[in-house]
Amino acid sequence: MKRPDDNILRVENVVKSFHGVTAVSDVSFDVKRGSIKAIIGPNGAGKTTLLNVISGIMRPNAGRIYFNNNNITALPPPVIALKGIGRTFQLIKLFSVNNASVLDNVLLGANRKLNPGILKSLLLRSRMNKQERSVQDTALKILKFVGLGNMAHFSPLALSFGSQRMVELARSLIGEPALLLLDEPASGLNDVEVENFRETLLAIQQAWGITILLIEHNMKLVMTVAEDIVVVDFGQKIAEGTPAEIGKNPQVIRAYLGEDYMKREVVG
Amino acid sequence: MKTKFLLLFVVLLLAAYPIVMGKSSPYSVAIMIVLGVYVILAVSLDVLVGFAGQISLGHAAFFAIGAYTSGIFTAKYDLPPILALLIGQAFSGSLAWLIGVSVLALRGYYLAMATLGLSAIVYSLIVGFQSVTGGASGLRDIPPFSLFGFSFDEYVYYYYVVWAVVCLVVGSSLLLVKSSFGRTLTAIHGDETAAGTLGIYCDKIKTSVFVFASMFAALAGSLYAHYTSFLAPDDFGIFTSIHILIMVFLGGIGTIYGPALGAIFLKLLPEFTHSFRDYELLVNGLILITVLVFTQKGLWGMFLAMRKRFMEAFRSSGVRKREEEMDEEPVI
Amino acid sequence: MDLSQIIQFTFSGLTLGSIYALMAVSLTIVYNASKVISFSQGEFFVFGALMMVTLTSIGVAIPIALVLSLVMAAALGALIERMLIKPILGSSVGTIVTMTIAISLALRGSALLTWGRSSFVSQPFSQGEPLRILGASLQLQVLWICGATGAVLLLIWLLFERTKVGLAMRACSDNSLGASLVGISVRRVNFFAWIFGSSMGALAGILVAPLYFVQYASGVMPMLSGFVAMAIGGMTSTLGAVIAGMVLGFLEAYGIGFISSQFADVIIFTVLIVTLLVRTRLLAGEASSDEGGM
Repeated sequence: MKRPDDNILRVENVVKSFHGVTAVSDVSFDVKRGSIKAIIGPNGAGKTTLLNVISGIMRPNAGRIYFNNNNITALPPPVIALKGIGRTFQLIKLFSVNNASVLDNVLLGANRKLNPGILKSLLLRSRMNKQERSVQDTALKILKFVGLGNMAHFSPLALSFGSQRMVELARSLIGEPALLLLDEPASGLNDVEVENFRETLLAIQQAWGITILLIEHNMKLVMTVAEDIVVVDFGQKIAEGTPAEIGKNPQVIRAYLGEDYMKREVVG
Repeated sequence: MKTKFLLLFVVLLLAAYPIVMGKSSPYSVAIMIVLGVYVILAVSLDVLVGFAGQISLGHAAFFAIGAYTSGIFTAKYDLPPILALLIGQAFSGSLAWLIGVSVLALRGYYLAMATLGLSAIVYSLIVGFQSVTGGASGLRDIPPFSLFGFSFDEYVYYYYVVWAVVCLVVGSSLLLVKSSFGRTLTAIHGDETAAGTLGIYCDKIKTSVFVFASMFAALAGSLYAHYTSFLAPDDFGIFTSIHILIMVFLGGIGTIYGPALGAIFLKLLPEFTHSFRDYELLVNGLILITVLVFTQKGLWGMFLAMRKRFMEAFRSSGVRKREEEMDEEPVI
Repeated sequence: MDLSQIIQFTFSGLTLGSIYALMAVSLTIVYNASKVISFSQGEFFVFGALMMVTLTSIGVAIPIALVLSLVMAAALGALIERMLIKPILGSSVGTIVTMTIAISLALRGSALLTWGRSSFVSQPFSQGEPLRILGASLQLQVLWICGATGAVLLLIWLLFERTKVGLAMRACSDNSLGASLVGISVRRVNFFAWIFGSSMGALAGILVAPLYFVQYASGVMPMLSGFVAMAIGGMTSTLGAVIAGMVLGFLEAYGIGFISSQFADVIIFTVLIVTLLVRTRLLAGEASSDEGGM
């Protein structure tokens, strides 16, 4: 019998449509605290929209999101972030304007600790400076953890794609989130980088007990890292279970490989 | 490290300037007062446009509000200038806050159009409410600035008031952009969606920067009013907003020092080309085009490049590491 | 207020409305093709008007002067697009806005140097006394303005609906990546858009030069009104721009008639800001377009 607060995240009957298209249709699932859960499904299935709704970038037309038993539905993104949900994006969103460095990017993830305002920055300078120094130490440590310790002062534009993804990851870690939302973190990475990423993910889970919910297309990564999988197609949840269960589920096979495959291989 | 010494040197130069030049050429001191006013305008706009990434073509609107508030309350109602100035600050701050919470939801072109509209509205209001502002014929007889009974009616004395404010504005802007708050502005400038998911309240912060910049613009206005003693609406219209933006771009957007240089350059230019008035528009346009096409780093970028080359010529390659460190100084 | 006044205002409304419709369409065409809102369209208005004045004053026949002015404006637009806009199309919005502002300054400054600060009015297209209609006087030029505007808008409609070029332009505005994938040259579409845009702006100036005094700085207000019309009309809809432009023209005519002209400005700009806000808030709560939404 599951205790209610075993689930750090509860998604209940979420519906999201826009421009006449229903991107997410009555999707519900839970995420167990400390676990790694994957959302998979064909392109256009509504996966990113789901993450957008959870992180507050979009409001759902119906349904609710619970985080640590608090209703966070339709709260603004900064509020949700400060409650402890971190997120990365499918198209890398690192900051490169105004000579921002890799370190600056990571430091920007630390708003739960710093939260500066104009008056505070001008008047309470010594306190801000002290906080700044300690956060810088942490940032450098995290960068070392993801293998980018010596790239701290470079512009993110100078980094390889895989490294950029790591910077985004580091940025989302420094805020010490309880839940991390990753949107196709392995897309664009070669096999070596994917393996590196897989190890990093597992290390994060072990070291910090962070719950991870990730969207991913790379099946090898999903099958070896996720404890639990939700399958979405055309905005609807079509399956949920362990990697073993999902691999054998006929509906999943049909969604990914098509009706004809089903007819030929499974039925015929 | 080196930058701090350079700044101190510049401040000393500024302090000595009127003592040296005051007797022989009061006009050169007067020019510096105008330059100071526009440095305040350009630097404050840079924080908004260069760092927070919010295009604003409405800076002159707040310049006008500060100027006319100070002008009207001192010329027509005999209030002490410092009180009129504070009223102007309160007024511009509140208005900026109101505008900020509504208009800053706009981005890109829309924001540019809306702020342009703002400049136009303020200009029209100034001209329209003739009985209060003097309309197109202008507001006259503004007394010089005075504080605790001491009247700054001589350029030399007022110079120190103005440039003390300039140092305040430049100093606080530098502190702000170099702090973690400045980093937050970079995030907002770069990608507001991502910034939101990092816990940054983009709307609140954009508004607070808008208020910050606008209050400084109004401050510049108040200082200007007591310098010229006569205000004409044409000094506060759309072209003025654009003019300030050109100063920012010319100097080097997002550098604080650059826009200060840009303001000085653009305001000194007419002094050296006498039949300039008619050429001003064209030259301004061409300068801006040139900066945009060729060197987005502006005057300040050119200065930095020259300094680097100067250093390289002077030292041997053994000390190259020091230069690289200087390049990465987040000061600029 | 009596009937003749109302009719008089209506005629002003037709004039202003046509001008704003043309300006709004010129802005919309450029925006549609390249997603750039050009802050320099007003200067083409001035260019067209003052060119007409100069040409007719040295004895060039009106029809020829009209064509020449249009051609020169088009050439100017083409030159600007090639040399200044194309290179920076990939840059940030701030850079592009500032560039079009810089261009407008350069154009305005050139106009100032060429024509000075005086205001000019050019010859009407046809000589003759104004018509008297129900107590109001209708300048013949107004008929020309309405006629020309109507004809041009019809041509544009035909262009967009019936020709390949028009189809290409519409494809581009919908989805420039898709358009380029099917072989449409986005660069060429941008080029033509700027040529059209500048010609329309110039046409507005040419048509109105016989009625109103135009000087080097006269382009700012028509451009701003064009912005308002474009914003109300839907940013990308040419038809919307036309309708909004006409409505705006009538509003201003009646407004100036019944309220002071100074505050009519304030009202128009406030409408602009409110429209932009409403437009943006309507889309609030949705992801920005680069979020995808899978």
